[in-house]
Amino acid sequence: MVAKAGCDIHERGALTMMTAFRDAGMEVLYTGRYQSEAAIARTAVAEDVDVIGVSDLTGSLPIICRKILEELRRMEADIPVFCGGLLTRADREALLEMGVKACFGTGSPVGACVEKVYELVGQRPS
Amino acid sequence: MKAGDLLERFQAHDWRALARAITIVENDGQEKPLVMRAAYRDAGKDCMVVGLTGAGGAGKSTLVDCLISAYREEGATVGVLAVDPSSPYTGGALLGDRLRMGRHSGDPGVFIRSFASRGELGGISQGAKDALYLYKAFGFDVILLESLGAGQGETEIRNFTDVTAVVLAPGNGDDIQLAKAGIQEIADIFVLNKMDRPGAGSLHLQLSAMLDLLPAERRPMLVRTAASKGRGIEELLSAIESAYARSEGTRGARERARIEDEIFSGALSRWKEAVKGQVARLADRVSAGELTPQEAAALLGGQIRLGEPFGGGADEEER
Amino acid sequence: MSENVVKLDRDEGGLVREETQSGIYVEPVYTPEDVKSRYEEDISDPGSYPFTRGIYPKMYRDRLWLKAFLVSYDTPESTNAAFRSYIENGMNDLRLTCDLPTQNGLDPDHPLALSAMFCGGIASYAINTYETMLDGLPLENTVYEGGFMNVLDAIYFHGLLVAMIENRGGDISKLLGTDIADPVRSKLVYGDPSWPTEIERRVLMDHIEYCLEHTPKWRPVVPNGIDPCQAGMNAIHELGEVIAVCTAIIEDFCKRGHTIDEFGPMVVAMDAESDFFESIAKFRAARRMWAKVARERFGAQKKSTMMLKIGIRTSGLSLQAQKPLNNAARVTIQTLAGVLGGVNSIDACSIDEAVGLPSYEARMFTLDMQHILAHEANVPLTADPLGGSYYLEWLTDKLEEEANAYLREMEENGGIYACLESGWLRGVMEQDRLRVQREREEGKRLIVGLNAFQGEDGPVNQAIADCAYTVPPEQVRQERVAEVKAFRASRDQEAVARAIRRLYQDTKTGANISRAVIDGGKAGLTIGEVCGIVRLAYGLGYDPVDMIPTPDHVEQALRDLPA
Repeated sequence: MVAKAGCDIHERGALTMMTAFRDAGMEVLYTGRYQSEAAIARTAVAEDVDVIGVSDLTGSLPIICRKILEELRRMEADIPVFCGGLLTRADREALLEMGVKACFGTGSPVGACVEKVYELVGQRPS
Repeated sequence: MKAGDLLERFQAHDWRALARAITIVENDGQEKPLVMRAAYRDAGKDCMVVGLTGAGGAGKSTLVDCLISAYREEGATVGVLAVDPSSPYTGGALLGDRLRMGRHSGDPGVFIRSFASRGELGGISQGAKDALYLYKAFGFDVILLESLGAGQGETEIRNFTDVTAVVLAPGNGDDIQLAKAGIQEIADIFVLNKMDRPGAGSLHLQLSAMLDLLPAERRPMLVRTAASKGRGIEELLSAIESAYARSEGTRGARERARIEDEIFSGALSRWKEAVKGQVARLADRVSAGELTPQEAAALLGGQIRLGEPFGGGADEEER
Repeated sequence: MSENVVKLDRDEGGLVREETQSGIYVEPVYTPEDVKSRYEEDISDPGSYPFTRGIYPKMYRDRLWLKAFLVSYDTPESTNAAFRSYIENGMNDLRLTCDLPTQNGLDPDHPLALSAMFCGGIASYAINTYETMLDGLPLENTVYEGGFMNVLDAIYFHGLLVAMIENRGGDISKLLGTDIADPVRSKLVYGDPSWPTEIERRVLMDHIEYCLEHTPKWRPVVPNGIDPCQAGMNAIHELGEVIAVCTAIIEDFCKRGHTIDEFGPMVVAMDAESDFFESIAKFRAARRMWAKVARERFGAQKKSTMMLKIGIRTSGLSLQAQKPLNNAARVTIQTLAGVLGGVNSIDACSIDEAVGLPSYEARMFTLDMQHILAHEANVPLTADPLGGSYYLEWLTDKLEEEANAYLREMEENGGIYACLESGWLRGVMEQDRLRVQREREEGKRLIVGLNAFQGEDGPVNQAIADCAYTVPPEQVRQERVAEVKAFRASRDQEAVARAIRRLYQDTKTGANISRAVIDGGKAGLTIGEVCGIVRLAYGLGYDPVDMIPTPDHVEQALRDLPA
């Protein structure tokens, strides 16, 4: 599931990753913009997704991911979260520390993100 | 979650258990027979299943969104199955409908799940059909089943729903074809969505002319909506209600047809899997000029009578 | 792939591409034979119809382009200080914007506001924030540019400026500037939830009529091609989209019983992309296309009405987090394309935008870079210095031809608003985006530092990344949440209730809502309230994202209304 939280309107990265995941044979769910972190977590659990990728270009990934992780923990859901977008070095450290599985800055190779998802999910599409 | 644990939580109305159970069913997981047995046993008869089918771009998701709000206002719980097509090349899929139903994602009385069609052209995937039992067993008051109508071969949705609405919109090229199919086969209600758009008038005219040819008791209702503006939803709700009342007498027969259909299609897909190798060998013989395709089919067809390809089915009965 | 590119470039002196960014095939050489446009009719002198070479006879010799950029800090105080310092260093187009929640019509205490707070600027939820942000700065005869998301922002923040001038006892007819917002981009690019398109179209006409009468030096609508382009559209489709939006706005305006000459010159915002010549040709073609539409389709009589003023922003998308020093070259080349394309204002991105929000020093570079172009490189000495270049004139013609074909296709699909609603327009944008994605993956589109010439980041690049402005932590955001609540409580509640009722009724009866918004601004109505009250008057829910109920004081105020 590709997720966007809050009022970030930048969508190009999310769309690029969605098409890349789809083309790699995955079933991809997109939350759309203007979602709350709680709604993202709840949707992920209802859809029983394998992994959540959060995209954000407002410099707020640590705030967003912390809330999503809290909500997931509250629901006892063990869904891995990774993220991509605008990231400072400090952001990366904070994100990995709080339990986000991987961080991709702007311009990261699409293939590396796809590989990471395979790794996090522990399987490839047959 | 262990299977027994899962069923317990499912029965305790924990929607997380429903979510996991759907995955098991959709992915043909080991626990599937167990889960399906429990679901079939508990599947309530008093929930209403409404199908919405139509071409992409007709505004089905927006309509579903409006219906969710309306039923929630009445205090009913709502389960939604949204089926999206898979890519024929990679098997991947973009499941986009959550986008437009996002505003209900915080509501505990609403459960929405997306399904990829997984190779089925239009219509409903096997996973979604199986999941429908889980929804019923979970005890939603209303279940909405949204699927992509391809204009033909759409009859099966009829057997899985109590009320079927075919959604059309002006500017969607295939809609008249879809309407024709709908009239013959499936529709209880035609929803002419985007009624404020150019072309809505002439589409309405064409539709009503077609419908007027039918005897009144078989004539689908025609409702005009502009879902993005919330218009016509009350009319749609009352049309659904009266279609549901009207379906009372035929529900038993439909259920019977559905069961037969499920047995048949389940058996068919097993059989297809089982005879794959034989079909390939026969195809080789056709290519080599030994047989015509018709003769090859007759050879394979003869085996059905003998029951040979069903060798793998025996252990199924043992479970 | 990348090693092969280095080899191709170094050992064979080769290129990987034969097309412009938007996929137009380019011949190795162009000659006079290739130029089909006629000088008198299609090119003409600068300052003459169809203004291909620019709208003024002497172009930058009379007036240099305006220099603007987003001024984006956490508090009104720090933004005020930044404005003063940038003005000191040559900025002369004050770009007003605010953070994304505010632009969406959500106040800072809305549950969805927290995560994007301060992205893009301050949370300017009401007049108190503007008073601090613009404290001591002149409001009259200074160019302000409202760079916003939607029509709500345009009308609300213009209203705040008018309210402040009136409060200071000034003359509102001396308010100068533009509102960069239009009803197509807000939905196409942002999926903006504030007001549905119908409301945006109606209110935009209110805004235009009010501005033409009371603040005639304020251009109330600037169709924006930058963001559609950044979201995926290629140059051809951006060009077509911008002209189509201008056309649709004038059509709505004429339906209200006006003529295009009452409207005056059109201003548009366009993207300066990395493809140097294609960008220049795009600006030239845009002016020519609009001049023709204004004269031929809308019967413009006045020369000024046929003029298209262009403001550009350089491409944020082209900037890379890998080796950010390279972004200095990108921004400079894109800015140069704007100058050679004869544009009227330039918003140059800062080199650290791909790694964080712009630092103060990076902003200073964008100003200095423009001073270097103007005063060291002597680029603006003569109007349209590339005019008559065989390649550029051919490419200008080609873009016009392709964009016109696209416009015809859009027309066949019911026009721009039908194409917006049906998703056709979004499909075009998505197709273009996918093509870029594919070409990048296939190595047919090289991005230095990314899929070619990767090299390594050294201490200089590291420093650029580390010095980028980081958005304030959650605690600072929470302070803003508390502040808006305190502000609401501090208002004259009777005046607020009157303002709520007035805005509601003017919206409902179809009166021009501009005055109600201005007076509402004076009474302290927040942007969230203005957004919500207009929605209520249209029978929609108060909250555009459906998360909070109508506030009690709003419900209370409306309860006393006659039915």
